[in-house]
Amino acid sequence: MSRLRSVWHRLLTLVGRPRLERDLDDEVRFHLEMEIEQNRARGMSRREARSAALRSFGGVDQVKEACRDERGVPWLETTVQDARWAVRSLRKTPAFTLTAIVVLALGVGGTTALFSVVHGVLLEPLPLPEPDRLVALWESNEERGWDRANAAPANLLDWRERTESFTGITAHSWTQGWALSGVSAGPERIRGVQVLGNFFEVFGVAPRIGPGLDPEAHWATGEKVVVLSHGLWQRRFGGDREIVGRRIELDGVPRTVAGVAPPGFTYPEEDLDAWIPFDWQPGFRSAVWFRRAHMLRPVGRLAPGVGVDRAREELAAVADRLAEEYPETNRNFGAGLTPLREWTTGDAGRPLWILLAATGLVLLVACADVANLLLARTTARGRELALRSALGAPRTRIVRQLVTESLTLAAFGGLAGIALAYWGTRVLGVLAREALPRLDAVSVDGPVLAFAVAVTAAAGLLFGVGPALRMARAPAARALQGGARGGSSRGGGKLGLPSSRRLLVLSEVALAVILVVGAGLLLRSFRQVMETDPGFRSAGRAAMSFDLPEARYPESERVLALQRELLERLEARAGVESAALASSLPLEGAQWTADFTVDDWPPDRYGIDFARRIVSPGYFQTMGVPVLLGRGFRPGDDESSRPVVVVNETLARQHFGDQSPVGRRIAFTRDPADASVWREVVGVVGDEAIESLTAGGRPEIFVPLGQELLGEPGLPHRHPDLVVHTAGADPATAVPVVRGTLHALDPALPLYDVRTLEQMVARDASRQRLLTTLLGLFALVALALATVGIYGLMSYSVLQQRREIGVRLALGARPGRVVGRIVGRGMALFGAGLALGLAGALVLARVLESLLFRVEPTDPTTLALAAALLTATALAATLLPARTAARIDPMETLRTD
Amino acid sequence: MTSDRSDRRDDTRPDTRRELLQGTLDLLILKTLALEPMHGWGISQRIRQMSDEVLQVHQGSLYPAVHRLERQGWIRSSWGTSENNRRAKFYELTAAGRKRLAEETETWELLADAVSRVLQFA
Repeated sequence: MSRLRSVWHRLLTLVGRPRLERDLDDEVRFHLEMEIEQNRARGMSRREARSAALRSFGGVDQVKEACRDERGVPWLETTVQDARWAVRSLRKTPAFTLTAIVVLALGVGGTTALFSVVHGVLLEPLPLPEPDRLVALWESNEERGWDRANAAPANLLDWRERTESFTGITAHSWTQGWALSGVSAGPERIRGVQVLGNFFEVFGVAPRIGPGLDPEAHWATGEKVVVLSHGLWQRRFGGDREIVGRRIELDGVPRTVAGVAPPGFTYPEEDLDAWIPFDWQPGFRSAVWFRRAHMLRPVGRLAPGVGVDRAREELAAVADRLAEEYPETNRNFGAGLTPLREWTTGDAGRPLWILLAATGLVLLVACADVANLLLARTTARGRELALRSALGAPRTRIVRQLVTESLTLAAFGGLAGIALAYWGTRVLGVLAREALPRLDAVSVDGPVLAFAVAVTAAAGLLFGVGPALRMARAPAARALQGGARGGSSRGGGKLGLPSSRRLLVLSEVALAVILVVGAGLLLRSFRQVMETDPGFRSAGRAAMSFDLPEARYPESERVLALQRELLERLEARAGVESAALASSLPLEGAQWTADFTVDDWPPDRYGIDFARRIVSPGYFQTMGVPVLLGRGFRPGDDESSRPVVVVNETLARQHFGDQSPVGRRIAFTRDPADASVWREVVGVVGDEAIESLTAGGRPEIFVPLGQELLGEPGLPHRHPDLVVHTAGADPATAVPVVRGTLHALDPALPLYDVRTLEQMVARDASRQRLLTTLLGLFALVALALATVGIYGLMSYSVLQQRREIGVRLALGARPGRVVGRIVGRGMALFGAGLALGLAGALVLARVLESLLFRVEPTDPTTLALAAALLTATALAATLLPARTAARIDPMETLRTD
Repeated sequence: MTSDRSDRRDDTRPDTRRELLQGTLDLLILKTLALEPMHGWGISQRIRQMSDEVLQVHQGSLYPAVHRLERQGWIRSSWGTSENNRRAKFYELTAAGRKRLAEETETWELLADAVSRVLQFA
């Protein structure tokens, strides 16, 4: 109880300081007055009485101080006092203070900025109710090398019926584009997905307005509905409260608005505009293709109390049973799930953590620099601190004061760092736009600020405690004796410097080496990526996409006719070298994969998982893809002529080895007995990079435009991509030409996704580029800091050794030799750091392995170049102070001191 | 009388000085206040009286001790008027303080008893 009261009193004292001061004054005054009275009663004069009383009282201020000590909260008060003193002291040495603050700001700012990205992209929970209960489900097939692949609708529906681990399973299609019309202000192309009816329910999201979707809305009812996103509702419909029930047209299909999603919800894309339910006929449920078309991206919500592992097991068991029940479609297919958070970040996690670690290293270098600066400074303050010690301040008090000073300095550096982080986060947001998901969640908010504060405090302690302890340990007497010899007195060692400072510089160098090597590896890897032949020529080519919706173009003949007409008109234009159409373009992912067989293969031999693309006859020419064997397509290859195909190099190599596939016949099925259409291989073309520049070739079969109607499923492709090769250098000039030509053919067809092929290549490498840029930046900062550290150390060393140098010069030593000696010693120290750093780089480089492309983590060229770069900068940093040493006037140094 | 604080500058008096431990001073103050509430000046006067002028508490020791005792909760203060109509800070024992006095007295007596026995040991 008394302890509580004690704490309470101390707290009260803090608050009511002025009043307590007055009380103390009054109390002392009362005592003095009583004593004076007593003295006067004894017969002294007034003056005598007063002086006697004061004398007998002793030091009034000391008594008051003692009382204050007894009452106050000493540690807090003295800390505040120390902090104020520290600020004054820092202001007296502006050069040091400014340098330290800048260095700290770089370290704290970089770490904080990167943490804000890590936090937003990786750590922050999705803005959904109970987001950690949401999981993404997927199918896998080891035989085909499928992992985390889309699910087939029949499988999904069976999962729903046969599992108990989920309160709901829903799914969406890939993102599509629809032409929005039936609204004022002209057609617009919006982005949306098709979903199951229970989509919003599973996500736990209630529509802002309107009833939303019926849970079974994916089964066709005749009524076609749509749910709008909040953004679209505001933007195109002005937030009309009467929107529910209104009719709009998507791709020419009239739909009734059934609701508006709440603001902030746009799953699965960050700027989705609408959701429409699937339009499945009841007969689909038992159709084979319904179990074969892997077109759904399922999301489930775990039932309460069910863990991820249990749900995963149950799902896998159901998948196994389905594989038994439907061997034709489901053999070798498994199923699994991933927490949704992880799913949305994809593989952005690893590189981000690596970058964060890199900023941590930069921060360590910054701390080492500041510690070095502090050591230099406290050595100069040796006299002052020795005096305090002699006057009775206990060692802990001095240490506490120095640590407070470090923390105060850190606080300023931290504030500057936070300001830097604000700016840095914005820059990162721009740089990383195409490289990272969930950038909208990145901001310097609460948790990030807390991180910054923690990092600042840790840094302050890190660089403060060491020098503080050192300083308090220094023998007071010698420091008081004077001269500038304070530093060389204790453990002078090499260069006349304490080993702690040398150790700091050594570690700075080592850390800088590690970062430079890392950056160098990424740089080489990036160059490798950029130099990889994508398989096509990207210069002077632009790509655009458009859709031919069924509502407007119900007959396949019209679909083909428009495409051919468009190509014809474009190629007639001046400035257009050639134009072509394709069902999908390289670097944008394979859209359609299937199995195939060759006419003389046994039934159990077939090729799996080739990519099928429909291309117009001029495609290979327009894209600059070389024809290696046979021929490409001719205008005569269409739906009325002999079925032909062209294969790519990878497919030829994988399935035909050294033999030429030209002349052989292929069918798009596994068993030759099922083949309805046999297609003759007429040529082999070079590989194009389908998924990404680093993924390598994938087996492909090309079908000429029109022949997709032959065989199964016999549907025209309605989402073509157009490529135009312009005669001049700038492909963007083609865009208005295409727009005009398309408009002339059909004004209601919007052109979208305009991109140049060079942009596509750049986008593919965007994450690599981001990583390389950032790590390069960090490495440069670390290099600069380390160089500053070396320079500072060498300058100081020269200063410390002035006498010795002066003596040598006086005795006739050549200045060149003096410089050589100093440089030699400095470089020896650097060399130790370099060796340590290279060893560390060899060990740590394995961490980068997953990010490198065609570069070994222990690549000797990179190591050598990094070592050379660092040696050069270290040499410069050592040479400069050494040269001032050579210019020392021996007479002067011998005279002073 | 000096208290055991080495960084206090003491006013050395020509008369005999006896070293007293801080705890003992506390005990004396508590005892004094057990009799009646009084101000700092009164406490020092009373201790002189009660000890026949042997114990003369120095202000440098008294006031810090009194403040400490208050912070620890053994005594409490209030402002009042002194016997000669001056504003003065009066201290009085709390219930906890009374208990503490009893405990400390007992400890002191045990200690004093033991010490004298050792000293008398022939």
